Amino acid sequence: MAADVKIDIAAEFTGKKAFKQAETATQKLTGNVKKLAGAVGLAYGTRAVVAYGKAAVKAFAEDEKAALRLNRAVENLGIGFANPEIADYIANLEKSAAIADDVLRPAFQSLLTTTGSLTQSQKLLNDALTISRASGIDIGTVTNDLARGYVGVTKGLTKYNSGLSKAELASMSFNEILGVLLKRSAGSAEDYLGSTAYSMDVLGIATGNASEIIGGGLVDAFAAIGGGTEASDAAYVIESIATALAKVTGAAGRTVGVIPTLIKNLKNLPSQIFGGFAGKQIGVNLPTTVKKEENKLTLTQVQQQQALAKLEAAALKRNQELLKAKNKQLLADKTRVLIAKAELALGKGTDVFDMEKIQLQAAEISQAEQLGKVTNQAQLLQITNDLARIKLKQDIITLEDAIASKDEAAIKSATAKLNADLGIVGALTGQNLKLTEIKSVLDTIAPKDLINQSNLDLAIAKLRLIAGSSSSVPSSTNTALAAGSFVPIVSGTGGVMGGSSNAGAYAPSGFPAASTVVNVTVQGTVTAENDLAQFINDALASSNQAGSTVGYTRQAGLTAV
Amino acid sequence: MPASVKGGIELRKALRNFTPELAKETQKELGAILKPITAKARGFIPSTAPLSGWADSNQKGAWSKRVWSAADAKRGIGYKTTPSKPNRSGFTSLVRIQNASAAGAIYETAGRKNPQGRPQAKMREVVIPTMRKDTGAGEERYMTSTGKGYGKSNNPYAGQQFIDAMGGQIVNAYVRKEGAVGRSSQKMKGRAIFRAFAEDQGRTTAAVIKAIENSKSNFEKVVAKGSGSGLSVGGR
Repeated sequence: MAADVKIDIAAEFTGKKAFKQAETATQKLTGNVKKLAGAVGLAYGTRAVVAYGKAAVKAFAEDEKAALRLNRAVENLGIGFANPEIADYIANLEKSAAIADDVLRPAFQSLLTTTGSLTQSQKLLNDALTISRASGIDIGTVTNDLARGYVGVTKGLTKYNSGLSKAELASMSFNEILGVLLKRSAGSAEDYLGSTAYSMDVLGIATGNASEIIGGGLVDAFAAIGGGTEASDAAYVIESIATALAKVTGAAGRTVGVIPTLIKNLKNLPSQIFGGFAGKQIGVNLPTTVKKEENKLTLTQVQQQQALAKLEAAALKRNQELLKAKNKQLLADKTRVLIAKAELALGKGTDVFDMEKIQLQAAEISQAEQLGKVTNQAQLLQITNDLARIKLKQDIITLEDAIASKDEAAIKSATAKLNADLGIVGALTGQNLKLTEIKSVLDTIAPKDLINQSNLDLAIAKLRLIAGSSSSVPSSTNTALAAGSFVPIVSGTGGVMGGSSNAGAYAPSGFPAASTVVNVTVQGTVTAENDLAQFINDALASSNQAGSTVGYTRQAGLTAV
Repeated sequence: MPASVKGGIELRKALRNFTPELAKETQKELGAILKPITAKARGFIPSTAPLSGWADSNQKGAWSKRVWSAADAKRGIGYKTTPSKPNRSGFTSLVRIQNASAAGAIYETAGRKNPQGRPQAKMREVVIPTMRKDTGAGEERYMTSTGKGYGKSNNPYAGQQFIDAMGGQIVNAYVRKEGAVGRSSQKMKGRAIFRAFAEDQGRTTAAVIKAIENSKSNFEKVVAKGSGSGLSVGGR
């Protein structure tokens, strides 16, 4: 805000230099094109020509920047003397491949900085052109992918549909991948050279942005002026006009302004002049800074060859290092795969090896032996399996030790041993039948329960078979019970066994207990009381002698207790 | 409008590179020409803050960097003879008088665009729900407006009051050329440097141009004397 509060007392127009140059160039170009249009009987809009002039200036600036970047990259590699050759190479490639140099320069630069080799970069750029033509992917992307692939990053190479899997791209060397890509792309560049697209690109290169604005008609006119019909003729004419225009513009620029030119010329003068006569004439002692002339050495042909050879040797060394690193990586990957396989086998072995199961089976075998219900052959099979599993466990431990030590040979050996023993146990894939057989054998020797539901059912069935009836109690038994057959016979008088008409009532409850009180009621007069008492006493005495505890007490009436 | 000079930058470079003493003399000469006008401009800066609160050094926010200081405001007024960056039109300033301090620039320009302060934009009411212990739920209402060209203060007369408090006199230093058409620039009006420049009536500008021409002439003389030994200068 504060910066705006000012009063400019004196100012100079210095901005928009490029715009001014473009306008100057445009004015000249407009004049030339108008003359040209008059010659060929055509008229073109000033606007289009102005646009061409502006685009030309911009394009020149971009091109200059790209060229400077490449020059710097080459100098940084220590082969600055090769810049003219590289420029020629780019220029020739631009013409032959019909790709603009402002595209080729960055592409070549990326390859050069990556490979560090002039020859390798040129080869890769040519290869990139072929691949680009075949795939339709722009040259910048292709060179970028190749440069990345050169240092082992092959991710970008998947887009070229080479038929190589991701794993193959990762495992193959760059040269192998490049070989596959070139094989797939063979002939594409040559086919392109015969196509109309190539001709259009040639014109595009020559006319640059002008081709979009001026259009095909003007290009035809340029070709006609050039005395031909081909695009190359038009390109020649355009370039000639541009060169002539640049000269005219340059000459015009030099005539503008006295002081700037004066200063430029002064700058070109040796600084000692002012320290000498000029300084003396104005009476002041002008300090002169004597600039040391840069000691620019020109390399001899031999030195250049040596520098190039050194560069190539360094690039080769780097390439070999990359290859070595790649191989090392592949070896590491291989070992990793091997370990993974071993771990897989180990996992399978662990799955099969079940200590708890073995212990359980051992217990079952022991029980089976006790019961004596197993065959000797089954026992033998089980014991054999157990022994094999123990051996398997030993193999697993050995393999684990080998993996821990990362000893490839030991891992291989232990894995082979484990697989072999797994085969013996029959636990590997394809050996399920044997395991099934073992299981069936074990099932046959499994111990039986002493009492279980099935046992009881079988017992009941057996009883039913014995009873010969489906009823739980035989009918004869019930009849006998109802008739009192199970009531004990009470001895009667005179040694006669007495019965009881109520015996049936005792049937459901069974026999009377020893302490049961039996009341005997005598109805009517049987005999005299004394006789009766005597009779009872005798009976009781007799009973007592026989071990009975039957007794009696005198009550109001005669009551047997 | 500044006087347009051609080759001024190149001349300055040449003077510095080949005749440093002459370059120093030119600088001195320009300084002698510009100092009176800057001194006069400094005199228009008030010694106390136009508004009492402006000098409060405890200002918060944007105004913390715009605190009024008469010394800073006076110190900010000066001249420069180093070429500036080109403006949007492509012109590089070679000699200029500037009011560089924030407070000084505000004093310089306040009210030059809107002498009565920025107009208030269409006001809108802002309603903010509030909750207070004593009164419970309620709302706070106030009016506000937005837009760079509009006043944002709740006080619609804030701009006018600020400008009135500035004091001084806004003077237009732009001299309309005879026959010129269109609207004149509004950026040549102010209370300090523009007022001083206007009162100078172009004498400083003329002196500056003359000084540049003199230095150019002197330099060319030096070069011409050098060419007597057979050296040729000029276009190829």
